[in-house]
Amino acid sequence: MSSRQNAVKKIVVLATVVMMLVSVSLTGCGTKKPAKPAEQAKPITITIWHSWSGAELDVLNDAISKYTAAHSNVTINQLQVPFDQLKNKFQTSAAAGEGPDILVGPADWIGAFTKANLIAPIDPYVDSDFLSHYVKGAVGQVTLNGKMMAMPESTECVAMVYNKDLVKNLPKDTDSMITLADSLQTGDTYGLVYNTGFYFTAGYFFAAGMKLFDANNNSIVSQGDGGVKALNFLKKLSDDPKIIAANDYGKADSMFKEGKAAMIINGPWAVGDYVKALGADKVGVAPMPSFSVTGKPFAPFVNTKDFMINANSDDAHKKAAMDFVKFMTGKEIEQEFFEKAKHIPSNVDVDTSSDPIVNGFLEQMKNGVPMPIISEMGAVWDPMQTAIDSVLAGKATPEDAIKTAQDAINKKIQSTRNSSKK
Amino acid sequence: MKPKVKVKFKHLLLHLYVIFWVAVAIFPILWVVSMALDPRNISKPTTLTLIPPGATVDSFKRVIAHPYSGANVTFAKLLWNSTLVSGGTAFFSVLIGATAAYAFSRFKFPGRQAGMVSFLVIFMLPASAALAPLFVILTVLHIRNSLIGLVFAYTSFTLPFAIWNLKGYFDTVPKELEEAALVDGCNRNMAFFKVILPLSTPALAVTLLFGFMNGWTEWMLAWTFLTKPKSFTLAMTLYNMVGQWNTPWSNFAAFSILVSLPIIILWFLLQKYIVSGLTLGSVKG
Amino acid sequence: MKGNFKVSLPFLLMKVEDKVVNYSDIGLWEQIRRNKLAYRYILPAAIVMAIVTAYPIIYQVWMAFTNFTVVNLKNPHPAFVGLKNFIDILKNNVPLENFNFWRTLTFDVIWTFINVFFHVTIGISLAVALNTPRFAAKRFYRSLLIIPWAVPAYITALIWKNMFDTQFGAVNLLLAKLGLPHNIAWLTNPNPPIHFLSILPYSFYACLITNVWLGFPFMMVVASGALQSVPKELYEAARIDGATERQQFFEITLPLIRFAMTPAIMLGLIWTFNQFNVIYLVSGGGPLGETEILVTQAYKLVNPAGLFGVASAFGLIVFVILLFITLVTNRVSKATESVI
Repeated sequence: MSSRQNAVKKIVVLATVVMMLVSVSLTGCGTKKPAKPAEQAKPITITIWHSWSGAELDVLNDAISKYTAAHSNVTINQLQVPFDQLKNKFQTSAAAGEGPDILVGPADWIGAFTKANLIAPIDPYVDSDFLSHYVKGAVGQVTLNGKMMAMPESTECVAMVYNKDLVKNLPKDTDSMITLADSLQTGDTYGLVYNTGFYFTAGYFFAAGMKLFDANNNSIVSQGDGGVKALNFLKKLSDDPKIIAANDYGKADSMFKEGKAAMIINGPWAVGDYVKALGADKVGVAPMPSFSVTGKPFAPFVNTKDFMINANSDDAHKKAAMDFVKFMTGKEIEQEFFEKAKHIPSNVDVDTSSDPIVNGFLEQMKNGVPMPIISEMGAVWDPMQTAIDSVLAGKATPEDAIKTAQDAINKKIQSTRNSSKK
Repeated sequence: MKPKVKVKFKHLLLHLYVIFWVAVAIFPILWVVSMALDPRNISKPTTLTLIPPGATVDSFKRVIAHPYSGANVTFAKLLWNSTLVSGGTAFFSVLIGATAAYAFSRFKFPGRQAGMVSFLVIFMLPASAALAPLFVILTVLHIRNSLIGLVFAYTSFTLPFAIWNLKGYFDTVPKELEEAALVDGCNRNMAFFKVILPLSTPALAVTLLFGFMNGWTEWMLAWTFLTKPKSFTLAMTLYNMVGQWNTPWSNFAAFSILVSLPIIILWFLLQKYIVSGLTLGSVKG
Repeated sequence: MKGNFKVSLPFLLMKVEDKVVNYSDIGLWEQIRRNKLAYRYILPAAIVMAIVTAYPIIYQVWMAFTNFTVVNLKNPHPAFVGLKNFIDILKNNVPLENFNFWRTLTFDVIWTFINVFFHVTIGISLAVALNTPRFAAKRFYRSLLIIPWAVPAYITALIWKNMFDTQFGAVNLLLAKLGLPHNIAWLTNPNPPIHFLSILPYSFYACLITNVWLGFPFMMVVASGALQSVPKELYEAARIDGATERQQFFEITLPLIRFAMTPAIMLGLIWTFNQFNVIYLVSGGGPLGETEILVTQAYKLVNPAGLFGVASAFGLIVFVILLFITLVTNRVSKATESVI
């Protein structure tokens, strides 16, 4: 080999090595942390508003201290607000150009806030790789008009919560549930205390075949006989003297805590207290029995609690906020929310096998229906509740009640559509 | 003998009647005290006992130690904030209200009738939709997220009633007294301070009390406007205790008692003024 | 007083006689100049109220004629819709469940008058009882009786709500102790207990009890004060003439305290008509909106519905109604006064 060829070889090898080194440093060894030391050192304060309390609040505070320990330039302020004041407070503040960087709220706020440009899409801050770690239904629920408007923190749905001492064999369908309930009723103990709020009861409406909206987002609840079948079922429960069926959350809740109710419908938020009251081995969660009339499973609303980002925050704040949100929805904190506050995680990496209660809810969620967050959904609640209440009070027949409900819902929808036209 | 017995019997009946209403009046208070002392702190009590078994004052200790679960604000700070806001509202309501009422009472100036009418308008108009513009204007003035903003807002809500009531009271103070003072060499300001005000103590006391109460118990505006826990008030934190699903009643009862006490004390101190202060002085001879 | 309504209106509303100075021969600027001191006295109040009260109210009046909703909070250029909001309200065409303007209005009026009736009768009866000569422990009773007035209303409203719970509330527990029917679903039963009064569900009675409890001390205190001004000689003279207690009460006491009670009653009417705390916190307007009153409905239009335009129109309607009621009761009480 001539010395020239040797030199060329050396240069080629050197160049290749250099190029490799450069490319390695550019990609940062496969992780996606863009190293911008100058920006990270700038102190920044982000604010988060929520209505969490008890164990949830403890997890939040813990997460805040962990995050700020790892990111010394970030200060996080949290503000607890009474739930019924939170929506209005955010609305007014954000509209005036203020408000927190992060808002914790139910998914049904997303519709109105998106329309009013109060929250910002988070698509720029997440990618499909990141989202693959999350429950598809949850991600789907928070996507509006093709944009992802919030980050789901937890999911929930209602299911049957039962007292293991009193219920030895779970009923498979509603007929056997009623039989079981009747047999368990003695003294002031009831086999079934059923909350007739529409949110809790919707699973049977969907099992009966009722649909909420058509393709144009108009309500079609009185189409078909699903609504009527479900209302008839509820009336049957209410007429049964051995079953308590009422729109009274507190009653079912206290009775279960005192061991006076064998089966109730409730969601994960309540189970922690039940375990405290009765002991972990006495409380069980399972899917509600399927609807005997149609043979279909109970299909409750699946809802998410989400982190929303304020549209008013500047880019630096949005970025910092999303970074914290990603930490909050990362495996570590989601695991804490699960273990301490019994949140059902939206992050699929969380190990929930230790908890048969959460698994019970996850089982139920398999048949769940993502709750629509379109603004038309807001028109549904009260008319459907009126339908239920009036049928149970004997003030209306199911047929009339469901028709009235559909008319009321559509009237509301029309009126909102009219008023948003300019 | 007979008339005496008759009188005694009549008195007995009246006493029974009054005692019945006293029992009605204090029943809820006894219930609240009972809940506050209940060690179980459950969502819903199941029996009607005055002093529950195992009565403790733990709930009081709990709420004083940790009144607002969202942040570490001390009870003392909340109490101080509430006092500032209420005191400020009371003070400004009296000061501004009395001066304005004096003008309406003593001077016949253009716009007087319009002004009086507008007070009634403001008094009778439910201003729930005014929350948003109020938010905006206080933000523009940079006082929204502070206790001063609250004092501003609360004073403004107290003023219509205050001016109307004070004016009515001032009207019953004979003009001759001021005229005598003016003749003696006082100017209008001195006449106002030295003659009218001292004679109007009952109405001023009522205005003070109403202003204080408005400031002490208002929670809706406070929750909409304030974002810094260090500036929160007792009324806000009490409302925050009523949870979305279940309320810890012992804590709530204990806190209610603590929050109500200053008002009740103020009431009893000013009790004798309330009657005369509200009846536009018509009881005076 | 006839003719110029603008002049007579405040005279109708104010119970104090004003000496009318004829300003028509003095120019406006001259009048203002002469009253500079007055304006200086008014200035602080005017400033505070202009900013915090007048501006939002004027804004609210403007909103009433637009389709202002949450969308417009950030972008305050809503469309002008004229009287649409008012018409929608009067036709019950508002996208808020259980919105029934006429029912709410009727209920509000019934609510107001029944409440004030009880406030006044209980108040006067207690005042008279306590005013009996040589009545023992008078001050003690009185201090206890004003406790409902002294404790802040929103706190007691929440407590009464707790007391009306079906299973665990103190009211039902007390009824049980007394052996009376006690499974009354005060706040959730939509059926009326008295059939021909179908507009009044159980929760009405719950709110009624709460509000009467809150309100009678005020009337009692005012009546007590008014009773002081009734000269004792009248009673002496009546007794000598052989009048019974009852005659004395109806012929002497009532007519003479009427003058002092009237402003209190008017205040009570307005306060009760707009009694937000009791309705919102005790029954929430429910069940099914059956105990909704106008102000709670107005609030719900804002939070959570966010229909600011409709809420503003609603507020204006309520104001007109209140004004009407005030004028009517003023006329009525004036009419009876002149008979004495």
